[in-house]
Amino acid sequence: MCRLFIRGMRNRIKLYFLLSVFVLLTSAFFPVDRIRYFLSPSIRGDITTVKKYPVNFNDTIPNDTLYQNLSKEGYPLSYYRKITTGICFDNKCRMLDIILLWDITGRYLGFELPEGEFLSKTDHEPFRQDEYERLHNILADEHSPLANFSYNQLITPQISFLDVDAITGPTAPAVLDYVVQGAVYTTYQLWHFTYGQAKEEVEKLTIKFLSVDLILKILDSENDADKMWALDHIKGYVTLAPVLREKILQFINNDNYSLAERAISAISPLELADEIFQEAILEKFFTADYSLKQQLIDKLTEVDKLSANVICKLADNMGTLNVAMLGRVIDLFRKQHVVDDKALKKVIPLLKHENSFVRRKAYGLLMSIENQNQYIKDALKEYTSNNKESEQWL
Amino acid sequence: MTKINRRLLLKSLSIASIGAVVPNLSKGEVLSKPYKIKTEAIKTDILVVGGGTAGVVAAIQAARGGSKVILVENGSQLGGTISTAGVAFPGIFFAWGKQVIGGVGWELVKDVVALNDDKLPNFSAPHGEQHWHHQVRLNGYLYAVLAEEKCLDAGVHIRYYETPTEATFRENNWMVRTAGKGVQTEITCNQIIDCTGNAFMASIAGFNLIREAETQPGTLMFQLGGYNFDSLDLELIKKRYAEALEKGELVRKESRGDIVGLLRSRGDNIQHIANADSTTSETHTLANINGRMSLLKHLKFIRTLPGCEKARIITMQTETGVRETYRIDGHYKITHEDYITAKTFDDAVGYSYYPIDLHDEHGVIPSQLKIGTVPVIPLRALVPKNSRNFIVAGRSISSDRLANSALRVQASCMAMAQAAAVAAVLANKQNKSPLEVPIKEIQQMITEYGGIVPK
Repeated sequence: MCRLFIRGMRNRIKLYFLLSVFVLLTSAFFPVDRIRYFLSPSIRGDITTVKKYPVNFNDTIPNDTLYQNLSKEGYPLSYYRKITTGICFDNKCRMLDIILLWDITGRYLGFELPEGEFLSKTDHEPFRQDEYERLHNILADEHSPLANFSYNQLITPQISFLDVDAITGPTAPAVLDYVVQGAVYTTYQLWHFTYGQAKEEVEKLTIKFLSVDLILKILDSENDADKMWALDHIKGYVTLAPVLREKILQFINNDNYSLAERAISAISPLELADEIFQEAILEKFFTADYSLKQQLIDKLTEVDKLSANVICKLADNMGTLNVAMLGRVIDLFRKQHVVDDKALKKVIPLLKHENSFVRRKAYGLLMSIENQNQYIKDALKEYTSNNKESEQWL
Repeated sequence: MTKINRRLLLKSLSIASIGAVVPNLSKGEVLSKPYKIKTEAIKTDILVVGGGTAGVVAAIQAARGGSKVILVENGSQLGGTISTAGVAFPGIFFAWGKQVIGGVGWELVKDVVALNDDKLPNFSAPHGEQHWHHQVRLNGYLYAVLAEEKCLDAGVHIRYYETPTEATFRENNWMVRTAGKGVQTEITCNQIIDCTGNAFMASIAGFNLIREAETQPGTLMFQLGGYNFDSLDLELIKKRYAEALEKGELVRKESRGDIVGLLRSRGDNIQHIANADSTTSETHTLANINGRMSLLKHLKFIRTLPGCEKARIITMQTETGVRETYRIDGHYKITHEDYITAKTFDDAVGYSYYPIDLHDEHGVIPSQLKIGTVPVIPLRALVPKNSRNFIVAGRSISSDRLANSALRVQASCMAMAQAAAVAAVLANKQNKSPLEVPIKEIQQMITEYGGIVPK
């Protein structure tokens, strides 16, 4: 009996522990008198400093300050803005007092209400928990159709501009799916504050703090959108330190096309001057899916000078490539003015390839070589005498 | 009186008569005889008819596959609905985090995005009810140019301004007559790929077609400017619009009954032109005129609205885009049920991924596919009954109307086109009809060329 009780207690403790972890992870919790809803930030750390930035938000809120939370190392952790505005309900107005938070990538991070404050709907009825959660989800949706609704479309015609959350008229049916019912104006305004000028300012400020270390930290975010933001802010912003190179290469795999595609785009032609890096890209080429293969081979086309090892490996593996990819590799050789004897000797047999597309590609490459060796001349002569008919299609 | 020598008289008369016929040529001008229609007989392995979304992909794939390819297009550029009609958001290539349509079509899309410094959407984030977040917006002009470059690079022989007028099948080959500007051509080919979008070639070849009594409306894409949407009095505008409808000055269905939507979108994929049909010169002429006249009527109305007095046309496509005309009566008809349940087929050659998207006079409310659903295209749906050496790709695929409302979208047409081209290449090599080629060989070749075959 006692054992059972202890086991029950243990289970209960375990359950409570799991529940608290869950609550912390989802970051939605209700301290006694403070309402806060947060998503996971891209990077975590203790806030040691708060910096203020005057910003013209270009909206209806008089407040013009964007706050930046900084870590002890001096990199930004998050941003927030205090919003205090009047929302009118049935011609009775009360203040909306809320703090909106952004992640350093400009993503919506959450909201927090001052102590004792709560959000209310029509007739001053307070938000229920599910309504806070709905608001949180709506604000987290960057692509919400609220972006396309104009102010005047929120309610049916008889309602005047200031009475949007009022009970004097119903909400327009098309809007209902995207708002907290009874708080149309609040939802609409908060969504537009979230994705308005503030988001842009947040990104601009973070960009000023960009470093290899900060990019690496954001790339470890749980959120793909943050990772993509970091990948988009490498080329032209930071140099590819070896550790960042390694990290980028890790993203080039077949598991997540979007991340892999952005990772390849993050590599500048200048960085590819390094022959070892070129070879690493080539290794990725051999294992990548078709769509990524194309992008990787195009990336090598941007290189100022293709390494001898890469040329050699590509030439050695021509037999393993399918026709379309073979065509791209031959195009790469042509663009890079490859004159390596060993590589060209691998191309010559392609003049007799069963596929006329490959034959023509090989012919085009060999013809483009200025100082042709005798064996190339002989091979080309043989090709032209055997392929007169197919040439008419060029 | 001067005595005239007879010989001299005759000489002067002949010079005078020549002078009367020969115009007085300026320096550098040459006299050209009246143009004589050029007739020509040419041979190829594969004839692709129609250089739109499907035709471009089919032609490139067939040529890369090693076949001689002629592409006949009755317009002046490639790309069809993407370029000429300006519907430059070609559907969805990723479903549930994975790529489902690849190959030549994706290669084109990706290259256009790269050359235009655009960014692809995040395909790993689900699109939810708003599938358009996974749409890739393209520069349609660039698409047309890159499509042309890729066709030429693959060795495709492009013939613009030509249209087929006759097709006969004899001795295992097709003889197709085409007419164009100053040319009449007799093309002998082993295989035909009909990418007209209207099953026009199938019709000329004598195969049965299917059409709805009422088809989906077409859309002329345009861009309006000269007003600030945010400062407009939308309630007043709605009222004035209702009055114009009441008086018969405007037709409700032409702007989906939503003048605010038209103003907000500025003309992007909003207009609806009833019975728009691009099958023949006559029907296409009508569709284009109706599209442009509707735009003009709306523009004139909009300019009477407060805040829109300076409204103007910024851009306008040259053709009304068409959603639905004729479909083939194929060996298999894809049904709505097949589509939404992702029915599997042994002869699967590609995926399609798009919500059921039937436009009518009230607009469109897409019906999203259930989580994890990726519909499948069987090869038999691309082959008309009783045909030989003939295959279609694009929106004329054999399907019921609801399935077709999703299959018609460009990404799916690209997947079909790559599959149709592979089937035609192998059929040509093996001297067979597409359905006689072992399906495993078709599926393997599609995969080798980057296409994605359902497993």
